[in-house]
Amino acid sequence: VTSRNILRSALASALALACAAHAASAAEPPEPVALVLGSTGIATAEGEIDSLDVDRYAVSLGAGELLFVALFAPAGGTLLDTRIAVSQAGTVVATDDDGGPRFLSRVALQAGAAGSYEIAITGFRDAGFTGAHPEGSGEAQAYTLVVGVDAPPLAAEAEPNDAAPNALAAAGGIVRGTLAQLDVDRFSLPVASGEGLAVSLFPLDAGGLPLASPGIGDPRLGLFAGSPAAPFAQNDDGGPGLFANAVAAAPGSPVEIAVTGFRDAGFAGVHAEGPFEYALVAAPLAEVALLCDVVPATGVVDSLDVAAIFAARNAPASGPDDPRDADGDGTITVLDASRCRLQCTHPGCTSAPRRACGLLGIEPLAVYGIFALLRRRRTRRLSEV
Amino acid sequence: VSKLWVLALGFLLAAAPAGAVSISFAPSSVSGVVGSEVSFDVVVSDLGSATLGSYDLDLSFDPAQLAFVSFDFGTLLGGPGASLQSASAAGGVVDLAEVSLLLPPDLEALQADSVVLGTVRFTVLAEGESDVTVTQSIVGDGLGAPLPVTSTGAVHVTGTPVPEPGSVALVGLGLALLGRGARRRRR
Repeated sequence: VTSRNILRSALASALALACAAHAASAAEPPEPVALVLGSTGIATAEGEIDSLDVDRYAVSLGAGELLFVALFAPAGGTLLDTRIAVSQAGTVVATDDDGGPRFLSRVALQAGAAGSYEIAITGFRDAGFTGAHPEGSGEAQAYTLVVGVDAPPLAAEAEPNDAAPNALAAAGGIVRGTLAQLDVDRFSLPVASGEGLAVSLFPLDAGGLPLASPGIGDPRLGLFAGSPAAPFAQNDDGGPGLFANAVAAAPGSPVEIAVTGFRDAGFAGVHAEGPFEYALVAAPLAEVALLCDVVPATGVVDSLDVAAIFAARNAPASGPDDPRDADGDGTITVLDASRCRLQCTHPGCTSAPRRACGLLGIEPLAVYGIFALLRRRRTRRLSEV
Repeated sequence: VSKLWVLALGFLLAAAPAGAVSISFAPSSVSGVVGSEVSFDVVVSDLGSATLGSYDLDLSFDPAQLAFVSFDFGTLLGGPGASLQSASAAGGVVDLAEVSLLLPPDLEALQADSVVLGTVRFTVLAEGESDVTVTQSIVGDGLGAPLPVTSTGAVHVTGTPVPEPGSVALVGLGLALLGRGARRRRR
């Protein structure tokens, strides 16, 4: 009887696992999916994470080449909480859980040896990359994978580019920049109609190699289009540590990318950050629709957008691209508003980033200095008495 | 064998969506004199490890007996400033909706297994009995995923008649006569 029970339970477990694995892999291409790098070393891929699913991609690296991997959620994937591992010949060389925007992941490394490197994407609970995770169990969660590969030294920005931007290729690319105090680095690239752009900043060390930890740099990233250039997306701390990320549909071409200090919300160079090194990875995307950005569609999701979705609850969505229908079920509900609050660009769903402490952050020091002088004077007087 | 089953069950449970919740009212029956106000709390319970991030409920009532006055929102989804709130009534249906702007860890710190959504207030228009019931419900967790609702309660409302002015006057007169009689007897 016992052996029969063992057999039954083993069969039942195997069946459950097989069914789940089959459901997860039903619509997936054979893996690992080979990434084809463009002329500027950029490759992108659209994928979905289901429960029990691990997506695997392969990219060839030369010895010493730099690899930048970033995940974005262009289609309501903010609920997706991923984990990334990069491995070579079965050995994990880098892994990350929440280094990317929100709960998404990203990795930067220098290849120790030439060969094929595997990029595995899974749910954050699945530290063993076996697929044991419930992420995407309700519905598959979409993501955009951006991969950049280049040999060091990376092409460096050409200063001064505070006013006149450095031109990037239409296929995107990787640029090394140095942000100094009062400095704004600007880059521009042409985008096709309906295209989006994913831009990610990675911290570099003084030698131009990826930093294991984000360091102390705190840049702000802005995307501009039109004439005169108007911002359509910006981000402060969406990346690792205090670094920034931005992904948005471009309203016009060319797009200008501006990197400045986090206090400089106006991108006028009014900041005291730096100097620090960074790598800017820019990847054009075929189609990007920023969900939840409703009133007005500026690339910033805030409480006004959430309130508009809340007010429209129980109305049918205008179509599959309705930015209010965050869960894609065809009806605007309170759940869409709830999901969209997680898409908010700034903490607390505010419309603008919290004001920095003063213009250059030196005002508190000035106040402290005045108090210190007064105290010193008083002490002197007392000692004289 | 049991270990295998426990493992298989645990695995399946880990992949299952968040648990179901129930919606109830406290107290489950109220009564009031015609013209007065009655009130009761709306409660979401059995949250377990989930948090409550949003809800949209339709409460059906008898408009011949009750008139909606207000809904006093609770603070467990963040309260004013930290949540979007809406309460309105039309044609015998009260629509209550709220979305928290707080992030899941903040909601977790605020909430327990049961969350009082707020207090509904009605004016009793007529004597008689009727029920206030949940006719439609969407409940979402802190990440905006739907939480299945397994059961919904009801409130039994009883409207009692106002004492008539004539009766009050008769009672007063009776008392006055009794008082007068007693005074005479004493003399």
